[in-house]
Amino acid sequence: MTLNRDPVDILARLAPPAPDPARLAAIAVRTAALRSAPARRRRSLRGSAVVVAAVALSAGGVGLAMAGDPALVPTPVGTLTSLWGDDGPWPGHAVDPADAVRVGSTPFADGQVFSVWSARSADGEECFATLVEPALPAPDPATSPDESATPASAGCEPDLEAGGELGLLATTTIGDRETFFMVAQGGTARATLTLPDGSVQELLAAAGSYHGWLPASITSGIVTGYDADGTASESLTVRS
Amino acid sequence: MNDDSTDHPRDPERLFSALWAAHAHRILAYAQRHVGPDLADEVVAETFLVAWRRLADVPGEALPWLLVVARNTVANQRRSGSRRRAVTQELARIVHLVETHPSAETTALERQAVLRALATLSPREREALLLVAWDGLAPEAAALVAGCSSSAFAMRLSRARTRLRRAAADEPSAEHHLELQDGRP
Repeated sequence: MTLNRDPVDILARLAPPAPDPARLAAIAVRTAALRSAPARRRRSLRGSAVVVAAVALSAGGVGLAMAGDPALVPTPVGTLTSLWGDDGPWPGHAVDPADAVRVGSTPFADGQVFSVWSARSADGEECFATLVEPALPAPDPATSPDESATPASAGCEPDLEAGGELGLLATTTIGDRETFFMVAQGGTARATLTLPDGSVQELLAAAGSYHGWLPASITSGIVTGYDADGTASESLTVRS
Repeated sequence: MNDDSTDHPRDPERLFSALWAAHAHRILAYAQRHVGPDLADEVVAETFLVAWRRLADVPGEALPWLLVVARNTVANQRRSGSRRRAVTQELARIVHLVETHPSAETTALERQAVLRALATLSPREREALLLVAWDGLAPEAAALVAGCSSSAFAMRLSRARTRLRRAAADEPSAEHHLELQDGRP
């Protein structure tokens, strides 16, 4: 083939366009967190930006294996009894579901909500469960979840091996849909998830960990932890 | 970094912000050629973390300095991987970047011919061309990033241009499906 133009000139014209500003904004958040983190923390948070576990799913449902307490959650949840009861995946924790409290909810896909529940076991452990529930017209922290709710994860005081720092504990992906994750709180007071489009979502906290999800088709997000004074102190990348 | 023109030229935050605004997209573009998308983000963050910690060392012409940091970060990311595999993946990424954002100023045949010719070059020759053609560096600055003398880089760049032109002219058929070669070591 004979080109009518100099290949060197053509090559220059093939330079990719400037990257998406939203992607750069997400990297800026991560850079800011790295900058503000003490050097000792920086080493570990870089090392911790690794998916710890991914678990196969039962048909139509979700399981999330946690370090030190792996199990697969049945689906649908029915009631919290099926998660924390003696016949559930975490027997022996003696949690009374009647004591469970919905500690927070945030909008999910298809008009549903993502909720985090918490309860104390007879041994004093803090147990949690995350559910995808129908929309809540009037959320009541003590109201039992709808029987159609689907569990995303559950457990009791998961092994927080992140060394007292923000650290990814587990993820699980529903087929090619959402990826649920849990992150050890470490010393942070709150945390957010920043998606590639720049949107930011507050993560829900329970049992020493943050809980959230990556929407379908999103392959990564940045979790940023904040100190009590609002300073972004740590961050890590969650990948589907 | 000593070319800041803000009202507070010694304010580290302002210096860093100016550095980010001017060069973050260039560092990401460079990183995207050398590593996958997720790692590319990490390379940018790590590069600017180094810049923050060594702000006083960043020269007025900051881009080559930042690219050297990015290059070293990429090398660290790769230390456990095979060089040959990395080179092959780099080529695939270059093709992907071009095909994902096809330039309106070029025809499909031109893109195909030039990419195929680019794939016949050695990794060093290819990098020399792209540092100048895509990253917009002057040869002297590109030499810093490539880690060689200006004269050596000038020779490498000249050889690369010659080989690119020759390979593009030797194309037997632009309809030929592009097959990547990993070039000479």
